[in-house]
Formats: sequence, structure tokens, C-alpha cells
Amino acid sequence: MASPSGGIDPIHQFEISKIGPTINLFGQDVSLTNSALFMLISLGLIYFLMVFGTKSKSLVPGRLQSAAEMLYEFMADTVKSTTGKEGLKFLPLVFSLFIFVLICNLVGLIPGTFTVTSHIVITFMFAMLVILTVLIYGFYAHGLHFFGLFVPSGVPKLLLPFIVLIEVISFISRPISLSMRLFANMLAGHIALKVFAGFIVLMTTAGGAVLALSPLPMAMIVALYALELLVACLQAFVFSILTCIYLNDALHPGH
Amino acid sequence: MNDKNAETAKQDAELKARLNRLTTAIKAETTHVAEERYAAEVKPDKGMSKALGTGLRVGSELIAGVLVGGFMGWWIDRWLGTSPFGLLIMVTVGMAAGFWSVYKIAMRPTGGELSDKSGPDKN
Repeated sequence: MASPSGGIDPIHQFEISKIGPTINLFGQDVSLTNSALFMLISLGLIYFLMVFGTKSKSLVPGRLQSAAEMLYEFMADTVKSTTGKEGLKFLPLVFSLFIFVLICNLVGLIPGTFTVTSHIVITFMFAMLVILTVLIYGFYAHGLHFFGLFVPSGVPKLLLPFIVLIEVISFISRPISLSMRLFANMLAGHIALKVFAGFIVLMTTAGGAVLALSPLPMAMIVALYALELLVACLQAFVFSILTCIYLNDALHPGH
Repeated sequence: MNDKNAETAKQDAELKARLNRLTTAIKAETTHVAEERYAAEVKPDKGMSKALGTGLRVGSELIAGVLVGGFMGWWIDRWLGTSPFGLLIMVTVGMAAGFWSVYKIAMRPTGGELSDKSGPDKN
């Protein structure tokens, strides 16, 4: 936490470090890192929630079972309401993305852990997965009609090339905005928490009148933590609902 | 005889009045229950988080448009040697694309359900 200069480094928490021995595979360094470790922890938690939650299949669900069922039904409803019935074949993809992002965000909120989703590489790969699914399925299902996505109806002929250019740029910006939103929210929230935590340390070491004021940043942290909890759930939800909206374009191109 | 008729008529009127009262009471109760059910469905915090989600979307959509436009312009400049006009034009177009995305978000009620797009028979 403390940087060599003696201050508090709020960026240090995002550093990737190797855990255990260096493993080389086909000339690539594939050693276990803290990011990979927390991905595995998140996967373990998801596995626990889903497998043990649905194990008993009782009519009156217990706590774990109702959590698993609520998450599943919530996502199924979201997919159905945004993409229609035929979108349900993408439910496994959307649900996996949602639950992985959600659990990674929530695990990252536990002090001392690593936030997997605070790295743009991870979120950008998620976004590319979504966009490539949209592109591949769109061309597979509709062929060249998929290009109708870029040509909105009822536009004057004079404006059409400009509108098509804008539509293409807005399509390309989708993976960028999708990945940037999740990554930036997690990064900014964790930095803000660390900065306020640093204030407490600085104020208590300063002593005197400043020491009396040190509970203030603590109160701020409590409030920020509540906000971060909301943002963690909200970002997972926004990510999955945007996945649904983009998949809807692949299912029904041409508005 | 007359008395009896008057008595029956009075009873009828009373019964009718009572029926009317009961009907209005039932109606009031039904609407009340329906309103309560509606209020329970539309939780205020759900609306708030939905709005927050839409707000975060709009912001990133705007930034992403400019970023993509800028990157494309920079790339065109490097490729054709037209610096700085490619960058200038493409950043403007990217900004327009960002606003276009925001316009599309505003035009359809997203964030939760897309009621206008929910039908599979659309198109």
C-alpha cells in the first residue's frame, strides 16, 4: 500500500503480480497472476452458488436456492423482454457474462482483494466476445441483409452517406463504450476508496486538531462503499442489458 | 293494502341504496388494491438505479464516439498524410456519432425493458 516515497499509492492495488513459479508454455509466460487467481476464486463462488443452490430443488427454496433462482429468472426476463423469445438461445452467454462480472465486481469490493474487472484488457475481451457474437450471428442468420443495420429507414437520400458513416462509427464505438464503462467505473471507485482511506492515515499521523477531524473521511468511505456496492451490481446489469440490446440488432436488423 | 305497497317500495329503495353503496365500496377497494399492487411493482429505488444506469451509458457513449472518431482520423492521417484534416473531420464525425447514439438511447425507453421492441413478430 505504501509507496517508496512514504505516501499512499492508490494505484498499487491494480498491479498485476505473479504468484508461484514461472510457467512457460510455447514460449509464452502463462504463470498464475493475482488477476487469474481472483478469476478462479470468482468461478469457484459462482460454481458454489449455482451447483449447491440448485442441488436440493425444493419447492420452498432456501436462501441459496432462491438467490440462484432469482438471478436466473431475472436474467431470463431481461433477455426475453429485450430480444423476444428467440433471444433465449443466447441466455447462457448473457447469464455467464452477467454472473461473472457481478461476482468479480463484488469480490473486488472485499478489502485486500484484486478487482479483475478494473483492467481494460478483461472488459475489452468481454465486449469483443459480445460484438463478435453479434457480427457472426448477424451475418449467419441474415447474410448481407445485416448491413441494413447501418441504413436507417426514412432518411433523405442526400443525408444517407453521412448517416451511414455515423452509424458505422457508432457501431465501432460499442465495444469501446461497453468495455470502458465497466473498467472506468470499477477503477475510479476503487481509487476513490483508497484515496479517502489514505486521508485517514495522514490525518491520524498529523495529530492535533486534524486528528479530531479524521472520522470525516471514514464516514465518506462508508457512504462511498454503499455507492460502490450499487455500482458493482448496476454495471453488471448494464453490461448484460447492453449485450441483449446488441444481440437484438443481430436477431432483428433494420429498425 | 296501500300501506303494504308503500312498505315494499320503501324496502326496495333501501335495498337498492345498499347495493349501490356496496358496489361503490367494492370498486373503491379494487382500485385501491390495484394501486397498491402497482406501487409495489414500481419501486422507487428501481427507477433510481435504472436512471443511474442510463446516465452512465450516455456518458460513456459520448466519450466512445469521440475516441473512435479520433482514432480513425489519426489512422487516416498516418495513412494518407493529410494531417491534421483527417483528425479534425473524424473527431467531429465521431462526436456526431456519439450524439447519435445518445439520441437513439433517448428515443427508445431502454435501461429496463424495450416495450416497443419486445415482440418477436416485429419485422
